[in-house]
Amino acid sequence: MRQILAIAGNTIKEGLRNKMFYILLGIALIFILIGRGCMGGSVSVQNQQLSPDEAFSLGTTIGFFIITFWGLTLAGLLSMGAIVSDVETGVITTFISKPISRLEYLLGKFIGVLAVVLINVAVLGLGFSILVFLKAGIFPFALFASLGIFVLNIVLLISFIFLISLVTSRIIAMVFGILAYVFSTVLDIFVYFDAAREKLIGIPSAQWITKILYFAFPQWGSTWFYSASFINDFFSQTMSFWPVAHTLLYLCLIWVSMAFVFSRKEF
Amino acid sequence: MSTIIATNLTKDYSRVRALAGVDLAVKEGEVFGFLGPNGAGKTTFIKILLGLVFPTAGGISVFGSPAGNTAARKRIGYLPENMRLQGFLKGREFLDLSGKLYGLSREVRKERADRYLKLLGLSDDAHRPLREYSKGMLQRVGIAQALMHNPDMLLLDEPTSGLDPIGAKEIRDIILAEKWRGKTIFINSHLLSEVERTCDRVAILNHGKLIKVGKLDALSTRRATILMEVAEKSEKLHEALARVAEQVQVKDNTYIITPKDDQTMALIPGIIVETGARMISIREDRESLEDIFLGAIKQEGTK
Repeated sequence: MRQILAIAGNTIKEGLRNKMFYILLGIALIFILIGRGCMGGSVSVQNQQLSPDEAFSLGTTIGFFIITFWGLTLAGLLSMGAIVSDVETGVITTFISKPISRLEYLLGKFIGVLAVVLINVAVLGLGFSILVFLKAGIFPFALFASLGIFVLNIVLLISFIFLISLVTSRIIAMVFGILAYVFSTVLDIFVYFDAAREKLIGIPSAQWITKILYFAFPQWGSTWFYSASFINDFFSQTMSFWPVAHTLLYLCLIWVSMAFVFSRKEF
Repeated sequence: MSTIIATNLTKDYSRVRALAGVDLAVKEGEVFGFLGPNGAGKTTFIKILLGLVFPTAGGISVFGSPAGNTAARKRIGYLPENMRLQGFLKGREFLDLSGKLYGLSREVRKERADRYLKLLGLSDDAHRPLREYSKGMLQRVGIAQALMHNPDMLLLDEPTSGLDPIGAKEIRDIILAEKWRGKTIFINSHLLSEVERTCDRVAILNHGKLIKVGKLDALSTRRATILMEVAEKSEKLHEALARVAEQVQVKDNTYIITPKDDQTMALIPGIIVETGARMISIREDRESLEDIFLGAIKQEGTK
C-alpha cells in the first residue's frame, strides 16, 4: 500500500506541477462565471417564464455540465500520457525495477490521476456553489451528490484510456476515449429518452442493435443522466441505479484486462 | 554462494536472438564486469534479471528467487543506462520517492538522502528540478537512488557514462567502498579501462553468446612479462635473470623477462643488489582487458 501511495503522490505532484491543470481550471472557472448568469432573476425558455425553482435547477444543471465537461477533459488529457510517457521516456524502468508489482504501479498512477481530476472538480464545484449562493441565496448541496455519482464516469474514462494506451499510442487512446464517451452518450439518449426512441420505431434492427450496444458498451451517458437526476427532474423520470452497477462491472473487466496486458508487457 | 545463476538463458525478440543459451554464475561479494559490443545482449540480461523483460527459454535466479521477484528486487540497487528521470521532481524529492518505493521510513529516507547527496556532491543542487541537471549530475543522482536502501547487490548499467574523469573516479571509489562492505556488484559496461580497474571477474558477451568468463589473468591468451630498464646492461645481470626466468630478451637498456612462476618478480630486487645494477624502472606488462576483449570478439567473428 505504501508503494501505491508513493506512486500516487508522485503522480499528483506531476499533475499539479503541470501548467495544463491551471489552464483548464482557469478556462472552466471563466465558463462558470458566465454560467452563473442563469441563476436567480427572470429566466425564459421558448417564451415561457421559468419559476425560481426551475431557473435554479436549470442553472445548477448548466454548472454541472461545465464542471463535468472540464473534469472529463482533464481526465482524458492526464490519463492518456500517465503511463505512456513513463514508457516512452524509460522512466518506468526506474519504478518497476524496484520492489513494486506492476499492478501496484498501475493503481498508483490511477489514484494519482483521479486525485488531480477530483481536486479540479472539487475546486470548480465549490467555486460554482459559492457563486450560486451569492446570486440565489441557496447552497446547491444536490450538486455534490451529482458530482459524487459522476466520479464513476471519470473513474471509468481514466481506466478505459489507460487500457487503450497500453496497447496503442497516447493519441489513439485519447481519441478513442472521447469517441467512445460520445458514442455511449448518444446511444444512451436513444435508450432513455422517448423523443429519440420514437425515431427508431419501425426499424426493428436498429432497436435491437441499440439494445445490444447499450449492454455491451460502457454506460457513460446513462451514469451522467443518473447523476444529473439529483439536480434536475427532467432526468430523474427515466433513470435508475442500473448504470452505476453496469459501470462498476465494466470497471472490473477493464482492470482485469489491464492487469493482464500490463503484466505481459516488456520494457 | 552465487548471487546470480543463469541457466541456458535465451531471449528472442521478433527478429533477433538477444541471448543464446547463456550460463553464468556471479558469486556473492564479487565485482563482476559484463562486457560486450553494442547489441551484444548485456542490457537484455539485466532487464531479465529485474523482470522488465521475460526470457524465451532457460532461467535466472537472484538470491535464490526467480528473477523479477519482488523480494529479490528489494535487495538490488539498479542504475539504468542513460538514467531518465521525471524532470519536474527535485533531486531530494526523487531520492525520497526511491526510498518510499523501497519501504524506508521517513527518518531513514532523510538520513540516506542527506548522506548520498553529500557524498556525490549534489547537496547544493538538491532543491533544483532534475530537468536542470547535467548528464553527469543525473548519473550521480541515479547512483544515489540505487544506494538508498543499502542493497546487497548493485546492478550498474554503464555507471560512468557521461561523467568527467573526476566524476568517474568518485563512482569508482563508491563501487570499491561497496565492494569492501561485501556487496555484489554487477557492472555492465563497454568502458574497458573502468572494468579493468574495478572488477574481480569479467564475462564477454557477443551476439547473445557468452564467449569468455573468468578472472582477468585467466582470460589472457599471452603470459605477462616484466619490463626492467637499467642504466647500463651487463652480461652478469643477464645471466642472473636467466636463472630465475623462462626467457630474457634485451632491447636497448630494457630487459624483457618472461617469468618462470609467480616468484620471479620477487627475486629480481635480490638480483639487482647481487649484480650491482642500477635499475631505472620495473613494471609488469600484461595483456590489457582491451586486448583480451578485442581478441575474443575477433576470434568469435572468424568462427
